[in-house]
Amino acid sequence: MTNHTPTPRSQEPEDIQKRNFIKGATAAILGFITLFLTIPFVSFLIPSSNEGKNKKFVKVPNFPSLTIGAPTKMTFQDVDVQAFITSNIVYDIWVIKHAPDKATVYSPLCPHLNCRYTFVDSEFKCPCHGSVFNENGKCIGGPSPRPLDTLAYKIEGGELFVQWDLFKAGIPEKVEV
Amino acid sequence: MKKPVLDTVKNWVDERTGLVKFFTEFLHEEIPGGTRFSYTLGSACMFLLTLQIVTGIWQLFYYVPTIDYAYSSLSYLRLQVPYGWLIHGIHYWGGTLFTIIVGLHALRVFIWGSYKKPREMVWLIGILLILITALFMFTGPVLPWDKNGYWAGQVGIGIAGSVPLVGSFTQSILQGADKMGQMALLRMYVLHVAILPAAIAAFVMLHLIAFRKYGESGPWDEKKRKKIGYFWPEQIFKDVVVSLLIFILLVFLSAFFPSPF
Repeated sequence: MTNHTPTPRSQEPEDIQKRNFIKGATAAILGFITLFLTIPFVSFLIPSSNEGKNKKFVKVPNFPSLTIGAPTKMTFQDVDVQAFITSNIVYDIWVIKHAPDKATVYSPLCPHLNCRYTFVDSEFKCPCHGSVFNENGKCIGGPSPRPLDTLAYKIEGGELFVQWDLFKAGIPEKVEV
Repeated sequence: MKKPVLDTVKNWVDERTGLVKFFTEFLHEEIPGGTRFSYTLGSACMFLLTLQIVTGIWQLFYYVPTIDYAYSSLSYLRLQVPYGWLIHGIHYWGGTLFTIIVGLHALRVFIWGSYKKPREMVWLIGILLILITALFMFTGPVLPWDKNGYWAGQVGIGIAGSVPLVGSFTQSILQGADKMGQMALLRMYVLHVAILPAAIAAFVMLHLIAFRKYGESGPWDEKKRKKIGYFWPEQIFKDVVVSLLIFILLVFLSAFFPSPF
């Protein structure tokens, strides 16, 4: 900064008015640029919703050879697309085959807090917080707020096709994520 | 009489930091010869640099610096992310415009003789800033990892490698491997998003500190120098008008001349 006594500004009413107008115009222009950019910059960060996207049925191998009546953990592969990254994901499910054209398919995640449960002594048991379910999926012990979540399925030509889904944990209602 | 709340807050902050006094002196800087549009080029550079930094950071939310995903992540950003085309476009055209405005700014300073004593440090730091800008323009286009970017990087690094004595070493540092590939992309990425932004921020601060020591040199005609203008609000208004025109140009170019890919 130069070291000298600052030159006093004109205090004429017209000059003061002119300065105030210029200050207002400067603020208006800067405000316009900021507002114009706010919408794109905020929208840019909001992730796209999966709502309305078509869900598909994926074939689960080895269903025809499944033992009737015995809950069995089965796996299937599907392509997962996240933005620009495509990868293969292996899903696991619990299947109880009642007949060649009838089955019950459970999500492998406990409705309490989404831990993976096991089938021991004719019951589904969650190791995390002790939720227990019978083969019908009904909660018979522990903190789970609802029964085991079933997944949509169809049987075509003797083969099982399952629609993978995720549900909110810890609430009594079965609500898709 | 009770002081307004704003005055109380200002005094509290100023007592503890001196910031209010600093900004008051900063804003009421006198400009010999009065305010001019030719003085707006420096502020235009600052405006463009700010836009480049913000749009650059925003793109980091989607860009992936690997040879598998660099191109697809950028395509996703441009085609599927809301307003991604605008943010990428502003960054793409902003880089070119920044280089042009920096050049015009240096030319204006040279023609007016504002590099002369006692402002030599301002000039020298400015030259360093031009070199950093050139490095930005070299490292940035490589990041999409498209044909243009790949070969621009290959040729540029090859030129660096042809320098006697230090060429091979420089090439190996820039390439990070025997040939252009993942390592080179990563190094261009780190240079472009971390090292060069830190360097430009530091040197811009020094540039401004050195500039504010003696202020604007003003016109060489003594009669014209007698007129006094002020930074706030007159010069800032002119700066903001030019910034608005630059901003409109950037949005226009982004919308009607998208970057090729």
